Amino acid sequence: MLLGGLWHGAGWTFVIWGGLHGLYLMINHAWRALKPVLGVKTDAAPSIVGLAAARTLTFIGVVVGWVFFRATSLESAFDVLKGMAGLNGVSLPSAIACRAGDLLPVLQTLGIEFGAGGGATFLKTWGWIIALALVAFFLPNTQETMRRYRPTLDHGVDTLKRFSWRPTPARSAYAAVLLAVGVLSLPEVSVFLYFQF
Amino acid sequence: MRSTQYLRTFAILAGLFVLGAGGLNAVVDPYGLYGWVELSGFNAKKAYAYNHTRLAKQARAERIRAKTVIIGNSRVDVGLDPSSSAWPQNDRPVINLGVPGDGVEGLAASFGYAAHSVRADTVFVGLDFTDFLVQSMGPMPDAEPGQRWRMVPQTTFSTSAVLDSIQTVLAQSNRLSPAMTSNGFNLMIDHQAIVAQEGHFALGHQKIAKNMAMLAGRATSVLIVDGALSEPLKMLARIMESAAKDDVQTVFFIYPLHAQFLQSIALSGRWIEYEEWKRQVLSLWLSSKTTAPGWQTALWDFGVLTNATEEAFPQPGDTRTQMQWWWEPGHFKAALGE
Repeated sequence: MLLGGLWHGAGWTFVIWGGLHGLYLMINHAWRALKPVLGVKTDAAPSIVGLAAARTLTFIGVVVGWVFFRATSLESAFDVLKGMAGLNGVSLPSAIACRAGDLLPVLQTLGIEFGAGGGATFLKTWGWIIALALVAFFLPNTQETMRRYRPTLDHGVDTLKRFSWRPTPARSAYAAVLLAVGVLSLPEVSVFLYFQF
Repeated sequence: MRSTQYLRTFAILAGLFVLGAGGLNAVVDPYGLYGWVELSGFNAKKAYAYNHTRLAKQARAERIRAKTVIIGNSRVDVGLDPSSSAWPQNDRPVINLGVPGDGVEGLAASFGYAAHSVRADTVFVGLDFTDFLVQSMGPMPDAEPGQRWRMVPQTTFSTSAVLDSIQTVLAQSNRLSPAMTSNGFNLMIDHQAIVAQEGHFALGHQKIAKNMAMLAGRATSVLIVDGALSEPLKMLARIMESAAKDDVQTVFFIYPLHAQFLQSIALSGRWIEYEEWKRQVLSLWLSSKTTAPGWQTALWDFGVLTNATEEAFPQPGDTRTQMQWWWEPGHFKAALGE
């Protein structure tokens, strides 16, 4: 995985990104090996709590990895991680404070500070993050959607059957909307991340 | 459903959706580029025109057949009202072509457009000291009228245009949404709401911090480089020479800045540079005027301390007091513009 990191770019940030993924894989394999030893059933479906914990841990691990992938230097990566961990305090735009009403003293008691910044941008950013997080966590991925057509050798996922694809007028319209959105997004300015490598 | 039926439905619907999106954007016209339909309560208020500021303002300039054009950055955009009764009748219609964030390269593009495309009788050119504190210039924006048609994919056939169209319709009933008027003026409605919520002090405080950071981050002693004029000054010289050669009546003016902004310049150790910049501007202007004695032109300096620029900011938390002349230290209100 270190080589996988280096393949993406010649820099310590990429090496660490690859290394972190190697570490995550090691933890995954160690956990699988430890489960029988600890008496955890390996064939039973995971509980909701277990599933939520596993997904949360994976998500945090991947997000931490992406910080190194995207940062231009180790120093800036650690700065971002410090901010993400709340070590720089928590600050909200003052526009939010003006509209917080009775919640304001509660937020202040929690140590939240209020500073300059766009309230509208803040709400828009978090609105998108929450909406897309719901899609990422709760809607099926492409493998699950196309499960009827055996997209992979390991296609045993049997969840969310109603989202499984089949040729229907509604599906056709849905796909047409996606294509139209794709075509209409072509003129948008979007700097491809890999252009920097 | 058979796969051929599926694919046919898919292709027809996808085509219809793309064409429908283009039709929606052309009718709602969120940036005011076409002016085909303008209905109060539907699309008359252009809350999203600032997503394509230059194109939106150019379309307006051509639509109203402007005789007077004001160019500059956001200080022009929010501070000089083309509808003001202060404009002499002979100079109207007036268009505000101020583009927020424009540097000297944007100014040059706007001047070329005003002089040669709009063929304005008079051009007012706002000059900003901070725009001259750069070592290299950015690319000159395309301000040719044909650019509006080249940008049709972005302004008419794009997802952002669809979103802007939908939001434009929704914004009609929102009295606090921003808007660009039919002659390119920014009414600062959204700032009025911020002032009502947070007060002028919050806006001013935020701006002063940004100004100090900006002034600290700009290059030093760049007006004269190795005995030659800096790139921005050379570009200003070209604007002046072009105006003189083509005999375009041009009024250059140095922006008024609030005393707090002027203090920021002094605190950042740039006051001497500010005065030197003014001398350089005057020298370039005199030089162009000498080469074309019949050229109708003026150079005004508003970057000085006056009763208006020393207007006191309200106290923190005071959301009632409205400043007479200023939104914040860098942006004057239309009242001062008049």
